[in-house]
Amino acid sequence: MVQPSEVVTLLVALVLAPMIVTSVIRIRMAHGALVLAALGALLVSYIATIVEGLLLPDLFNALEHFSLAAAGLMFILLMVRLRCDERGRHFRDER
Amino acid sequence: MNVPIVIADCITMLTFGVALVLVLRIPVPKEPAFGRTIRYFLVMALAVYAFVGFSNILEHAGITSILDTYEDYAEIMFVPLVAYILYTLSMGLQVEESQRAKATLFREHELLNGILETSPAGIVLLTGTGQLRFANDRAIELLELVPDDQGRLGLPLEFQSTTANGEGGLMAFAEDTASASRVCTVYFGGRRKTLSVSSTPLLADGYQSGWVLTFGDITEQEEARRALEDAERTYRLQLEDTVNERTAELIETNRRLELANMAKGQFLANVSHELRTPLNSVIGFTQLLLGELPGPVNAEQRVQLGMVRDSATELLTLVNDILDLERIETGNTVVEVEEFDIRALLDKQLAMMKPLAADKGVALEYQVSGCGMVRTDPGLVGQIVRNLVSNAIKFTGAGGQVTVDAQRKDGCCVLRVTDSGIGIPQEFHGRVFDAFSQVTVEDEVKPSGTGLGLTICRDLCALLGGEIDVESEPGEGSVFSVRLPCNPPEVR
Repeated sequence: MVQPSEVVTLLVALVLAPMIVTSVIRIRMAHGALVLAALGALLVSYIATIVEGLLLPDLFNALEHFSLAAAGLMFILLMVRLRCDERGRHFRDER
Repeated sequence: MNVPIVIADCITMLTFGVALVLVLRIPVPKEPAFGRTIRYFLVMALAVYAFVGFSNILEHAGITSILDTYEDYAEIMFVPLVAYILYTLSMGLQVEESQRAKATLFREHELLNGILETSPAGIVLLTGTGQLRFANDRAIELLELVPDDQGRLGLPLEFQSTTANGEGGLMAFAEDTASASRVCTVYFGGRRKTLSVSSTPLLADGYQSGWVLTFGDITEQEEARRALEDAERTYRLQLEDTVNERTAELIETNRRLELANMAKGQFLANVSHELRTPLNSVIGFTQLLLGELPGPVNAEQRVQLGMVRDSATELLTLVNDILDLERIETGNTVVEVEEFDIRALLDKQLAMMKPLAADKGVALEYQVSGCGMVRTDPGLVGQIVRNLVSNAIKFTGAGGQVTVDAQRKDGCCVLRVTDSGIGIPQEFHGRVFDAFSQVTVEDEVKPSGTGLGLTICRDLCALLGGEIDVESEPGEGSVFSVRLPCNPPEVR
């Protein structure tokens, strides 16, 4: 069954996604691709959460949880890179 | 219990948890407000999914699903938190850039200020309408700029210049194209300054927005230059005066020398004339006595009368030579050019010299080859021949020979008088033509003569446009060569 909160979460994510993407591009954020990939994985989990209520619950449930795990790994990788990257002091890719 | 899902949830919780801790160590914008905000909201965002992971572990491990409801609401916050973090980050980066730009601008401004204030040149910035926008300390000092009622700097009222006057005066220095420095004199009441001024237009977006004027004080250099010019002018005037004085002195000296020369010539002429008359009488009457016209003379008387005659003759010759020389040097000798036969002239002149040669036992001969008619002054040429031949006979011993030959060479008549006499040492060759100069040889009696004969020959040759030369070695005789052009210079 589809939860209303899950739908709201997905809608909020979809509304804010363009702004997030343009911001990452505009400020030329260091490792911006990794940030967008992590957020994309979260978006997949949001969609999988809703779809599991409609069809193939086991598959989409697994997809939801594995997507969350993948997003977590990407975020930890992002933190490690920001910590090590000298250019990351300014959160900006100066290349 | 779905083991793979639980494992995935564990990974989710651990990774977001560790990431949450690492947030505390990542570099953030220096601006404290932005840095703190970003870290705070990033911690919150990552805490959301750490909590979600924890809640899922409890749910899928069958422990409890009480946190499931809170998990859904917490998830809603994540994406807005990320959006806000990015917004704050953008603001923070802009603020940082702005601060860096301000710091750079401040440093550049300080540097420019330092350059302007320490520049030895006065620098003035005019707007497009001629208003004074900026003047460095040196410009204020040079132009004596004063503030008006509104505190704006401007030229003093008493300012005047060779290119500008009073109000708006600085605009007169501005030119529409960059100009090399030019010299201007400015006046502040009674005080004068000399400035070098250059103007450069300022362009903005292709339009002229003002001018940059630079001023340099060259008062001292100009004054030094003027002083140098004045000194040079004074020196030149003094030099001209000195030259005029010296010229006047030289003219006066010259005049006196001419007068003295004239007096000398007059004196010589008078004295010579007064000497000649009695000398001719002495010679004449001595000849009469030697000719025993008044009566017989004994041998002793004959010898003494001969000595009187010879002395008088020598004295008369000296007087004549002095007069000849005087006439030549004063330019009173007249050159009368005519065409004549050189052979006939030599015939006549050498006939007169033959008795002299015979008395001394010297053979006298002549020959002419290729030199027939010549065009010059026969009288002067005859005098040259007589002087050279009599010299040759004088310096040739008994048994010697004197030969005269005339030949034409390169359009000139060349007369050579060769003798087998005592010869002339090399060191005397340049002096034999000097007046009163006679070559004396050791152990030889000083020959008679005035020492003017060769001098007269040299001067007469010059008068006729010719030249005379000598070749001689001691003991080997001498050769005097006279080279006369067949067409002499104009008759004087």
